[in-house]
Amino acid sequence: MSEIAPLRLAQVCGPDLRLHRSAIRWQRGFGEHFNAGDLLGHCNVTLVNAARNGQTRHRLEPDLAMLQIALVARVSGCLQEAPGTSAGGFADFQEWFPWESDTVVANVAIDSDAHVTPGQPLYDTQFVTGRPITSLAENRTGLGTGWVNRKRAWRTGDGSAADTGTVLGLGICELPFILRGEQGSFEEMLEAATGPVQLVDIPDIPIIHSARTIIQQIEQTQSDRNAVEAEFKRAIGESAAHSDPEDWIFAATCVAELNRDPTNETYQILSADGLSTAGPANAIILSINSEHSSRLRHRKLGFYLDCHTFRISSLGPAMRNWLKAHFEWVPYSTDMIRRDYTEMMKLLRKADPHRQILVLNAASTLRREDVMSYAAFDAPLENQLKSVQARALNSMLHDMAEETGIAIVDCDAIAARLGSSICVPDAVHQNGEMQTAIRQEILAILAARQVPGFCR
Amino acid sequence: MLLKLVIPAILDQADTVQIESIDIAENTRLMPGAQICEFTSGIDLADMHDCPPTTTYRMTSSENAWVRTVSARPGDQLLSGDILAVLSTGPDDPLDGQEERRARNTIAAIFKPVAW
Repeated sequence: MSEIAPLRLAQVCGPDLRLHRSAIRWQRGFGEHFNAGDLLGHCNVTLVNAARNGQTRHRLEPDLAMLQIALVARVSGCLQEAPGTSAGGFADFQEWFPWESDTVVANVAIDSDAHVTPGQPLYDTQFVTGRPITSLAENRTGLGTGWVNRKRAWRTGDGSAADTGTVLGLGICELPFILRGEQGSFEEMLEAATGPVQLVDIPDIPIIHSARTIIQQIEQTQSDRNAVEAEFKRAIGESAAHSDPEDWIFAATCVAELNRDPTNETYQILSADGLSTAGPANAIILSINSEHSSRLRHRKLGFYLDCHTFRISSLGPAMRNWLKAHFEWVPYSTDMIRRDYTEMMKLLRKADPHRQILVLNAASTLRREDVMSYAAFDAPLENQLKSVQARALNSMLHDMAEETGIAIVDCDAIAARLGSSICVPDAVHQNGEMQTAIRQEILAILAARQVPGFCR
Repeated sequence: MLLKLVIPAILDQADTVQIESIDIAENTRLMPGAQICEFTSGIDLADMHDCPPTTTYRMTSSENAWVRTVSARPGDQLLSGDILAVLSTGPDDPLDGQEERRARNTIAAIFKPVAW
């Protein structure tokens, strides 16, 4: 017969902080069975940062305004409703309730064969937050929803927040879904952690994090940033009569992304230990598919604007004309990419020589092509043919792995093994099976490379 | 013998391609390796959110043949299986002849700069 146990709120912050929460939004219906590792529910939370009793107000990072707490089951069983805990309406969104540890929010009928550790909570506390592009884009209708330029989640579990390892994703569209998982809040990666860990993902919107972009972001001075901002302000000004707000948003987000340095960012962590700071990241994951054979370079200032061509194609004519007037397409060879990677590695490891860099290589057998003669293509072939460039870049990574210690996440081999036509059906995006396989590969590398939070 | 040059199937989810260029002309000789056309696949999905999977391909000849008719122009949208052109092994083969097969060709995904 199942044991019925109360699901109590855990201690999630130090005694000098107060947290308010919304009602719990359950992901499992009452009476519905769940397994260990399943997301049970989440709530929106806010830190009440009031100075009182002589205490100093904490400086809170902007992304903590989107803070949410998810309850991830440690045991299997069924949820049962606790009397007086139903909410609905704005109670599910607004932080109307003080977070008081030991509050019973539901009951759990624990499976008779579930392993329960006495004294341990029935769930793991997972924090999820994101830095909205603008406060207008704040959206907490779901767990981890909203247009953010940095999304992160962490669990400290039974460990100390001071030991939190951080893994940062800076890839193209293939990477966020792998890292964030099926639910979108990094559950699979966090579930595999062996200690306190944080996952951070920065999407490729609108800037792609190529090696050259990362170098620019690290090395730029405030004067450089001011010049970039002035350029895009001019873009809006010059095209204002004929452009629309969507183009202005593109220009503004380009400035915001070009002028930050994500590889050196730190992160405010909330835990039962209180507020602490984690980072910069112990490991960074990149995509070789962020490297293109031709790039936009500013004619006067020389900075590169790496952006998916479909975004540029969707801009209005006024903004496209401005880009055409002020940027030029420059060819970018594999040798140039190799030079960038060498330079980037030195910069990324300047402060932390043990920092691990993982790179997803390119699947080279994606397309239904069958080239019998290369006579109709111009040399160098890797600048014209996608499959040849994919192989050239993979070879480059292989050489660099021996020289610099880059860890290759071999998507090429995974795609071939699983069948690329099956697992990448539109020749660009992976299905769940392939994302799971790549995720397992990333986890194996993080463990082998002794990244904090994933060491075995 | 007539050789039918057919638009290949690229994606299971999208069967429409847009012709970007036609590099063959009627009543000319087509050698193996010569460029035939460029087309972009996935345009049915071009309005798809989050990274539309459109790709430009170059089609080249694997045949030594004569171009007899060309059925498409740049900007046209064709479906997989549509006939792009009719070739023949001899310059004067009758166009209403009974002997025919599909023309062999190769396709390769290429990088195409954004058209300003």
